[in-house]
Amino acid sequence: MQSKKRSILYYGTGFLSGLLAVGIILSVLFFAPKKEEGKGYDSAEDALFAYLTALKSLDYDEALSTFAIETALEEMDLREAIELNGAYINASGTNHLLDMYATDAFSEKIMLQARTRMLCRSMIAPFYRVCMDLYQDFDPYNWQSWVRSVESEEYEAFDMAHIHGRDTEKIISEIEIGEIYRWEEIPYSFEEWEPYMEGMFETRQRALQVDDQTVTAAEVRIDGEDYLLMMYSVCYGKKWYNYFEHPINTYYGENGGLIRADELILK
Amino acid sequence: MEKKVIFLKFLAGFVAAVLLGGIAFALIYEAPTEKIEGEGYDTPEDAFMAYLTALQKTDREAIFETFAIESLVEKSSWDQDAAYVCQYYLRGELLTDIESEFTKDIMLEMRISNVNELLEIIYYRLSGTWNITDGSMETDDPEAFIKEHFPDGMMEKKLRKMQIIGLYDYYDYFPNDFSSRESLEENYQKCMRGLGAEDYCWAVAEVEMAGKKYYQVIDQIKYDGRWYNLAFSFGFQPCETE
Repeated sequence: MQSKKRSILYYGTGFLSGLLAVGIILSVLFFAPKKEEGKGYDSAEDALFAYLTALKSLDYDEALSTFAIETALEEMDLREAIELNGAYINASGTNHLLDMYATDAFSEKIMLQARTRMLCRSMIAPFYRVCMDLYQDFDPYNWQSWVRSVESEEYEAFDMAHIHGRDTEKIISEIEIGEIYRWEEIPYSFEEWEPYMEGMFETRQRALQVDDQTVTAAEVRIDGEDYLLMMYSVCYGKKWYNYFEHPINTYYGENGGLIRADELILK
Repeated sequence: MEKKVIFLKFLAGFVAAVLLGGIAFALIYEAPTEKIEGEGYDTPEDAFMAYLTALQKTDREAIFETFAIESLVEKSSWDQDAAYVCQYYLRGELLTDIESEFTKDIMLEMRISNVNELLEIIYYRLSGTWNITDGSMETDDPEAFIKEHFPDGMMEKKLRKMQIIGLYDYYDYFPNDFSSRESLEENYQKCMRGLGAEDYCWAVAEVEMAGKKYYQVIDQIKYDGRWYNLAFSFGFQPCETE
């Protein structure tokens, strides 16, 4: 009788442990909230290389995961950003880098998607567009250069050159990734940006609460054309992530961080 | 020897639980559908009301279900007459036809972002920081600013108290619209062609949030006999100028 009771106890303990193990495993596999960002990289160069490799592999989720997303929202300090500017700046919602802030779970999801939106719309989609041979020549002093439209009489030629007559995904999968540099090693001259960079690093360190930051640049060849992709990279703890294109890029146009090499001057 | 028996009994119980638990889970668990959009609605009014109700409940998934997401991406095409219109709705200025998963992923993300942007506007409107004339609000007290505009739970609290005043026909609500009905109808036709839709319409809703009246003009679209929300043509506007 005693041994029967003991047997039930052993089976029961095993059974309960098994249920507990199944519960833990299933909740981790199926119910844990999925993060958009990955685990980060050992260096800023690795993060940029991973981004380009993911694009080359035509893996959208992987490309997105090389950027700081959840951590960027968690760490962003709105109070610091307001203090630095002496004002709350919201030029166009979360297109601005320094106004990510959530008041509750609902707005947190909105902010996270806003960050993803910014990365898709300003980094990945424009990169794709450059591979469609639609590099945007941008003159900040000429508003007409900002407007891009296709006249009806040009549709057919446009379609042949950029859409159905072109295998954009094949071109992306064949991009060549060259050297990757840190800001100070970039072989092109950005002398006039040097004073701005110091201020930018200071502001962002405080507002984004990053432990380290840098600018990296990769040489990329797309369909026989040479480009430099410049990325602002951040470090949280010991892990590096891509953050966004370098502000210099907005001067050259919205091309997902790419600048055509022939527009740059070698040092 | 006895230890071995104890271990085997424990192991037998453990394995039985793992097997039973796994089988039970496989039978009960319903894998979430990959689709973001829902099944659509019988009428445009139903789609609009479903959106407003989901907004009141701050149920993000339910909000997205009321919008055309996958259908829009799949049925939109590089249409010679409607290229500009497609470009407008699939924001991000990437105008192409779907080639494979990678392109589709980008187009889907842009469409999701497009809907999310509408929620972003609501967030900033509710915080009282949207539509600032010069793009910034000066303050020497960040703490007080955050407390005033972004207190904890701000968005959820305000949305849950939102009152739906009514749904209106666009032309009844804006009888003096500067656009002629003909030019709007022409625009509908372009949109329908470019977005591969069966029908298209506009509607207006009036809501009250945090003591302020707002209106939303919404574009709505019909795919496979079902109505979905498409976009807010003019964002989320206060009835009286701020």
